[in-house]
Amino acid sequence: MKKIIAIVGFVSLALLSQAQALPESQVKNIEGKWVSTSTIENDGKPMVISFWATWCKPCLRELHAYMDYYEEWQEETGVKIIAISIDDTRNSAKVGPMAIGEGWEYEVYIDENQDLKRNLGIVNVPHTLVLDANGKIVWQHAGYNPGDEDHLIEVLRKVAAGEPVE
Amino acid sequence: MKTFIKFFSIIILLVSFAACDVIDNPLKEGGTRPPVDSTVVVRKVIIEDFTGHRCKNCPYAAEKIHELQDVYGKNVIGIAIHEGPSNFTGTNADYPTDFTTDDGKTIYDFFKIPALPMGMVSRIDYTGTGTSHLKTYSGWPAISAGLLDSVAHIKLEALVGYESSTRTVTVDVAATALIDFSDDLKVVVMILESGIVSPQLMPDDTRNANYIHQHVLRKAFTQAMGDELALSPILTGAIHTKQIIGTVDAAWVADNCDIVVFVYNDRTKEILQAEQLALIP
Amino acid sequence: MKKLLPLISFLLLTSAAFAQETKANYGELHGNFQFDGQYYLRDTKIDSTGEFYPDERFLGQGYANLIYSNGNFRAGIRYENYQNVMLGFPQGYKGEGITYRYIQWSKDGLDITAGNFYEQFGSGMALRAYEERRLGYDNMFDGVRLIYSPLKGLKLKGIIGKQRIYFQKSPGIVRAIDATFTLNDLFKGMGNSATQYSFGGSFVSKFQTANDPFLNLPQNVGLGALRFDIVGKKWGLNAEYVSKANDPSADNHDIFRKGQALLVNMTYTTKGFGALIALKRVDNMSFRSDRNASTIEGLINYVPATTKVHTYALPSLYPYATQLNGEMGGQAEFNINVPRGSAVGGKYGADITLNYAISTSIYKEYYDKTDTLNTIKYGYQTEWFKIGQVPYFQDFNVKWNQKMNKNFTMTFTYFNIQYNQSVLEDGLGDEPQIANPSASKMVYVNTGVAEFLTKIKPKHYLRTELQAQFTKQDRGNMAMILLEYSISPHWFFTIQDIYNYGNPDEDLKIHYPLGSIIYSTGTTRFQVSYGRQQRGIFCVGGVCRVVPPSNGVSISITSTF
Repeated sequence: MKKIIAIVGFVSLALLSQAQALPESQVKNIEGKWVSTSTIENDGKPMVISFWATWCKPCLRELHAYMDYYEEWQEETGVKIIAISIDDTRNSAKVGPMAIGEGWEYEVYIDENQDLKRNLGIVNVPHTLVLDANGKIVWQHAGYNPGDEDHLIEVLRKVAAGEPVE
Repeated sequence: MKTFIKFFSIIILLVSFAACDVIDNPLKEGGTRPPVDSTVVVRKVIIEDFTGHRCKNCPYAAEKIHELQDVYGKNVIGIAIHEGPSNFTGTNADYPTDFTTDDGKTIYDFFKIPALPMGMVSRIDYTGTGTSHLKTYSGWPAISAGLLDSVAHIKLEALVGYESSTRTVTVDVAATALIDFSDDLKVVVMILESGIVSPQLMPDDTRNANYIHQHVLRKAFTQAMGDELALSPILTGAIHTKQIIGTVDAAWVADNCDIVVFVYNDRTKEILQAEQLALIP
Repeated sequence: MKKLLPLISFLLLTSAAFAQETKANYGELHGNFQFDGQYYLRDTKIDSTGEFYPDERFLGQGYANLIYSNGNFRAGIRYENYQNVMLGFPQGYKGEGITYRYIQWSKDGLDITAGNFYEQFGSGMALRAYEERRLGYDNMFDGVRLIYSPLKGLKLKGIIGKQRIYFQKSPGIVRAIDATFTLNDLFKGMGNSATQYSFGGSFVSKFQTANDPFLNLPQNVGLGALRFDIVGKKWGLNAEYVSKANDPSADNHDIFRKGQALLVNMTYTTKGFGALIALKRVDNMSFRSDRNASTIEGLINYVPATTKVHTYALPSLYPYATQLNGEMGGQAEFNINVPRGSAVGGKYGADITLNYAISTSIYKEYYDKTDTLNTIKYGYQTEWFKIGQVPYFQDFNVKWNQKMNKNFTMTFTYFNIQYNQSVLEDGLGDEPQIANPSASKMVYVNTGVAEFLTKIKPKHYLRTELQAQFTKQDRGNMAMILLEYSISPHWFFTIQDIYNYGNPDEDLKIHYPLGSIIYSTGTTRFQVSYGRQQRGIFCVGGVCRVVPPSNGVSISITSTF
């Protein structure tokens, strides 16, 4: 009986929870500086936050795919793509060389002990979120199917126009 | 608030910096243990050593039991239970002896042994969910020393009678409760064989063809997880007896066999008292 | 605690309902849920005696997290359930319960957490409590943590607590402090510098009662670490040095030797090119809050492996794991972007990654076994710059990734791996291998992987992987084919087969087929797989666990909110 109440509680909370901002956490940028997630903003324009890891192949496919469209998307919606790596110290030193070596133009951060990932309740990478003009999470997707970028631009258009998503 | 923080931080700092023991003499002066008062009942310790003849690190565990028996003599009783994945216990041309037993498997499965070598010391810390009852061999000396210093709650007396023509063993067990018990008690009687010369894989990855296997579990004459000895409530001074009869298999060398008897608390599984007697005195 | 959960849920439920109506800020809620289960089928080809086939037939495990935050306040809770754990997962997890609960309050540079928490100091070599739910790794603390920034550029952390071991607490008490100084924030003059300078230090101490009749075991064991990090526009250099006091344990066979470790990372980045060189030396760095623990239990620190993680199925059969008792080595990785429009790069450009990693034992000269005092005090003698006698692992790999046209991308990877199976699977110590080098069972592997991503039509893609692995040792040659058909945004259909055609054992020259269907919607993902998986072996610190081969239907459900 107690478990039923708990499960009902969990599910209802999930359904009733409002649009939320990024939880306050500390992440490291590739210049080695610790920044608070509350300072991540895009001047009232949409943001895409993509969680990835150097060993996660679908994540790399996703970030490569976005590179092909980034310029167009920026012109159309002003979006900023932020790539947050969950690599721990086994691989975190590779994040900078990989991101810059492969020519990514995203803002890249490292969530070294996975505190932000944990606070967002993320289970696996890739996991992508879209934040609206007020910094609220309006869309989330776990996993990456090739071709998802077509769906993502639809979401970004709606957010840029101030329309609700889904 | 700020002064509280400063105070708290300084406390943590002081605690941390003071917290480091540098040992100059790692070995304890091997001294004589204080003479044991013969009227005091010693709580004897059972070390169950889950092992395999193709498990290269297992000889370290067997060695630990020998070290303890050198110091504590008959107060530390070792039982080698050969059980585990077939790459550690299986037989082949180089390792022909099958040391596994059904009784050993029952105990191994019940306590969910996850790896080899692994052991239990008088089955303490068993909670049913977790691994706290599993003790790696480096911990056996400290745990054994602690248990031997503790007060015994059961006094155990056993008599072994062996009829060589029929190879029949009769074990008479008498357990006296030294405190009140609100749990049921079970008794286990096992036969162990020592001095078995058979190959063993050693820690340096070589095969020792003439390794001597000691205190190998051959069979439990009671059920592997014990027969009922006494039901709760049990009052101080109560004496419970049981007679167990078993047969010594023709393949086992009777002169090298020992009978081990132990009594344990059926709820916590903790072994309260044990006794080891040679099959042939 | 079980009684509190429904109460908390009810309170949050009602407050959330109010929030919807009044549009007041009643805080935010995040959480997740995961369940994995497998129904096992009896497969005589991979398990002839049935020793690995579970009596329960179906094994399943799951967890659910809930985190509530409102302004400066945050609280979280987790429920875990293991009925029983799946094959290959640490067996210590049995039963169910609330394993993680905490409250956290932060304001004005002060952050206090009470309850369970995860934490990392520097690179983690001094202290790292983290979770890796897929591996069953979770060494979180249960205690109190204080984080304080008295001024901008200085961050202090203090913790005290006990670690988790499955559903119990480790017997040792851990106390630790850490300080990080960011010079660019501390000194006004450096504020605008393009180069970021920071340094820090930690001190960690553990207390565990000792009652060994033979040895004077230390009850308090301390560890200190110093680190610095310099990052410029192109260059980066960071290093951490850790020193540990005498810590006799099950891992190091009760020697009183001190421990040391050094990790150095150098990076160079410029548009289109990135390089990393890492160097590491570890000597006797197993640091647990229970000196008698083994495998993944009670580890306070985390010494990262300086080798590349491989996720392709065949090369990942030979992974490297850090040897806490001692290792030295390094890694070099180069990321090169061949520009778009160039002759080699074609229309879209190409990415090349070159990686080399090596790991050996540290140089050791063991004391004679008859010299018991030196053997217990030091174990062996070593020299910092001498290369160790026992090779552990070597890995050279090259990856070429290129998009040929709008509809086709290809990736080619080559691996050359040298793998010391005696060390990495059998837990064999250095001493016998130094005395007799032929005691080391080395496996030499060459692998080639070709991966193609093809767009069939809008939203429909086909990904193909062809892998071939050649070795004269261990399981011999094997080949694999994988086909993955995805329909954006919801579906993945995968089928794969590994054929171990070169296995020296005739009975094991078999196929390992596996098929899966994944359906994902928003943040919820359902996966169903059916197939057969090879065996593995997992050894940490001389205690080995068998990861059994299995055959069955598995399901996995994950969700985030």
